[in-house]
Amino acid sequence: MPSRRILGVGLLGAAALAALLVGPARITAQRPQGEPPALTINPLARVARDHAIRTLTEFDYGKATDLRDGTSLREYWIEAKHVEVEVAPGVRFPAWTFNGAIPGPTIRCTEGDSIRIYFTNHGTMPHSMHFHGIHRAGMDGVFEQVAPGQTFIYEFRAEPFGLHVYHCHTMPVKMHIARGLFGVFLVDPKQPRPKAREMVMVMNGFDTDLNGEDNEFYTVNGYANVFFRDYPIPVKAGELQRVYLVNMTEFDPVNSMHTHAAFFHVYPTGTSLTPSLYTDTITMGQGERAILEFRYPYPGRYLFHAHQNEFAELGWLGQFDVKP
Amino acid sequence: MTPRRRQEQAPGPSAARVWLAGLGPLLLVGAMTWWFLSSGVAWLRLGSVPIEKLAIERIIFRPQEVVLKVRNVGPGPLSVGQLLVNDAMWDFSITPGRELGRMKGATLSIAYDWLQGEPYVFTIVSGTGLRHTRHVEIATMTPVASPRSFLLFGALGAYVGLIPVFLGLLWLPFLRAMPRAWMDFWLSLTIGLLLFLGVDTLKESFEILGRVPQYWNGVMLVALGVVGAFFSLNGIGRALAGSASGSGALARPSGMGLALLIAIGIGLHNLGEGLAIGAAYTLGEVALGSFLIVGFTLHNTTEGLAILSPLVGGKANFRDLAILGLLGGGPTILGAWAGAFTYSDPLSLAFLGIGAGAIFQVVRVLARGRAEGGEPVIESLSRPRNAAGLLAGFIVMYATSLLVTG
Amino acid sequence: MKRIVLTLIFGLALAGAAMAFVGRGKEKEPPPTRTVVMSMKEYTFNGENPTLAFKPGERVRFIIKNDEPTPVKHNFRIVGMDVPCERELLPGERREIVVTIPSSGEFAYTCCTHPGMGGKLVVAGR
Repeated sequence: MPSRRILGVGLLGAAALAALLVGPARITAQRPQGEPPALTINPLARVARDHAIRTLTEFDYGKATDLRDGTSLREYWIEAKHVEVEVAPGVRFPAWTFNGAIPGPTIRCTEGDSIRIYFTNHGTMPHSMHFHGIHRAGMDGVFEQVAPGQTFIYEFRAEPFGLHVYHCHTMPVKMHIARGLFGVFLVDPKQPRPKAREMVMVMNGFDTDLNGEDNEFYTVNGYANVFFRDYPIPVKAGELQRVYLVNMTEFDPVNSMHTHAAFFHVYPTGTSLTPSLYTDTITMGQGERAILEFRYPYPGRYLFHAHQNEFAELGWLGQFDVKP
Repeated sequence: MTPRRRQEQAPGPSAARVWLAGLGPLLLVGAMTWWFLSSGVAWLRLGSVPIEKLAIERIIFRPQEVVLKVRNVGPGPLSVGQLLVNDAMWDFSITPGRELGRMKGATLSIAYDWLQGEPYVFTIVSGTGLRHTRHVEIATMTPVASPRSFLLFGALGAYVGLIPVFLGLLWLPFLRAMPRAWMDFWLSLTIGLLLFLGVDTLKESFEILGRVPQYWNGVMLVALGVVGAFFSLNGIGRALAGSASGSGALARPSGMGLALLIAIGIGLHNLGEGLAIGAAYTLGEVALGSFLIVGFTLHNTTEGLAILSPLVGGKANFRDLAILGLLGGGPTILGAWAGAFTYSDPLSLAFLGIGAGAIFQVVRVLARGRAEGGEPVIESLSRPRNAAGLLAGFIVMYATSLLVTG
Repeated sequence: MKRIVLTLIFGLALAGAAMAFVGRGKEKEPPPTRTVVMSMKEYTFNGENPTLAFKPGERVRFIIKNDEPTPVKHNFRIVGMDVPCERELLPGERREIVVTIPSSGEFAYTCCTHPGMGGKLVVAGR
C-alpha cells in the first residue's frame, strides 16, 4: 500500500511541477530475439531514480501573481509526508519528506518576490519549514511548530538573492534533516545570471540502519550512483554549465564535489555575481552551498564525485556525458 | 472420589482413551497455533516489525573473486540490498535471488582483486537498511575440492592427528618396563590428559559460539552433543564390559575394552579438532603456520599415551594397537576434510559437544576404575600417586598446548 | 571391532571419492536459442548498459563486439556464472560466448577493466 501511495505522489508531483523534460531512467529490457520474459522493476526504485533525475532540472516557480510594484507573489503548496523511499538499489529508507520524495521541490523565485508557502503536515509528529534567508521572527519555522494535520502559512520577501535551503527545524533537528526533510530555496538576482545549462545537486547521506551515528550511503538528489549508473548527465561540449550545489549531509561534518577534467568558478552561497575561486574541488560544511560554473571543452565521459572517496564509493558518484 | 470408583478404574483405561489422552493436548496445541497464525495475530494487534538478521556463513576466496554464503536467520523474510566491501559498494551476482524467506540461503559473487594475507570487511545492507557484517582477518585462497587439495588436507590431518597418536602408542614397551606399582600413576595421568582435552574441546566450542547466529541456539547444540555422546558411550562401555564380565551395573571395562573406549573418546575429540583446523584455514582466520602444526603434533602424541595406559597390565598385539591408533587419530583426517571443504559452524558445535561428552564419559569410567571397594571417586583420585598422575597429565597437556595457541 | 575399522576405512574412501569427483562430468549442451549482441562503445554496453532479462535454463549466445572508435580495449565477464575475464578485444574484434542461464538469480556483467561499464542480467519469468 505505501508503495502505491508513493507512486501516486510521484505522478502527482510530476504533473504539478512545471516540467523540464529529461530522459527517463534507462531501465529497459533488451529484446533481441524470441520472446524475452517481462522484467519487473521495483516501483520504489523507479520513483527514486526518476525523482533524482527530475530534481536536477526541475524548478517550482509556484503560482505567480504579478504585483503592482513589478515583483510577483508566488504561492507554493508543500506537504510533510512520511513515506518509504529507496535510496540505493534494494535498500529502503523510512523517510520523512516534503512532497513525498527526497529532496523536496526546488523552490525558485526572484529577489524581492513575495513568498507564500502553504505548509500542511501529514506526518505523525510536529514538523516545520525553516527557510534560510532574511525574514521576521514569526516566519522562521522554529517556534511555530506545525502539529500533524495542521497547516501553517509562511509569508516573507525573498532576500537576499543566492542559493539557499529550507528544512524542518523540529527537534531533534539532525534527525529531521537526516530523515529527508530538506530542499533547495533558490533566489535569482533581479538581473538574471547569464544563460546556462542549470542543474541542482543536493548532497546528503542516508543513515539507513538509523543508528544515529553515521551514514550507510551518500547520494546526490536522493539515490545512490544515479548519475553514474542510471543517468550519466548529458551535456554539450563548450556550453556553460551551472551547478547549484547544496550540502545537506548529517553526521559527517563536510561533503565535497570534484569534477574531472574541468575547473569551475565558485560563487559561495550564490550571493555575489563575481566568483571567488577557480578550482576543481570544493569542500562544504553542513548546510553550506555554492554555485559552480564550468565548461567541458572536450567530448567524452567525465566523473564527478565527492573527494571523500569513502563517500564516492558509497553512492556519491556521477558522470557527465559530454557530447560534441 | 470414592474408593469404589477408584477400583473401577483400576483395570486401566481403554486403548482409545490412552490415545486420546496422549494426542489430545497435541491437537489442542495445533488448533491454537492454527488460530493464532490465521487470525490471532491480527486480533491481538501485534505490530510485527521483525528485525532482519542475516548471517554471512562462509566467505570463499578464489582468484579475483569472492563468494559469500549468506542465510536469513531472522524471524521474517528479508531482501539483500547492497554489498559493501571495506565500506565500498560493490556489484554482485546473487542466486537464487535477493528475496530470502526465513532460514533461506543465497550465494553472492563479486569480482574483486583481493590480496593474500590482508584483512577485509564484508557488509550486506538488507532491504530495511540494516548492516550485517563479517570480518576476515587474513584473506587466504580457499581450497577447492580437488584430488590434490584432498590429499593435502588428508596429509595435514594425518600429520597433526593420526601419526602423533601412533607415535604415542610406541611408549607401550616403556610403560611395561616400569614397575607395576606405577600403573596407578599412568592411569591417573590419562585422566588428567583427558580432563584437559574435554575442557579444551568445550573451549573451542565457546570460540565458535561467539559468531554463530542466535537462531542456532549454539549453547544447547553443544549441550546436546555432550549429553548425547556421554550417554551413548556409557551404553557402549556397558556392552563392551558386559560381554566380558556379564554383570551390567558393576561392569568395569579393563584392558582392551577400556583402551577402545578411550580411543573412541579421543577420536571424537580429534574429529572436532580436525574440523577446527580445516575450518580455520578455510575461514581465513588463521594462516596455518608450521609452528602451529608442530605444536599440534607434540600435543597429540600425548593422546597415544592416554590410550595405552589400560594395556600396560594386559596383552595387546600390533593389530590391536593399529585399531586403537586409527580410532583415536583417524577422525582428525575426516574432520580436516569436512572443515576445509564443507564447513558449517553449527555442525562444528555439535561435533565439539560430542567430542567433549565422549571425553568426559571416558574420564568417568577411568575414575571409577581407580576407586577400590566403596571408596568415593574423588577420594581415590586424591591418593598421592593418583593425584600426582592426574596433575602431571594436566600439566603436560597445558605445556604442549602453549605451542598451539598461535 | 573389525567392523568399526572397516566402517572407518570405508567412510574415508567414500568421502575421498565424493570429493575428488565434485564438479566433474559435464554433458553436451543443446544449441543456443537466443542471441544477444553486446556492442561495446564509448565505455558502455549498447550505449546504456541495459538490464537483460532471461528465462531460466535458456541457452544464450552472447556476441561481444568492440565497436569503439578509438583504440580502447575491452573485455567481458559475467560474475558468478563461469564467464571469466579472457583476452581483451581490440576495436573491431568480436567474441562469442554461449551460456546456460541458471534457474534464478541476478548477475552482474562488466568489462573487466572499466569501472561503471556493466549492467545486470536478471533471470525472470519463472
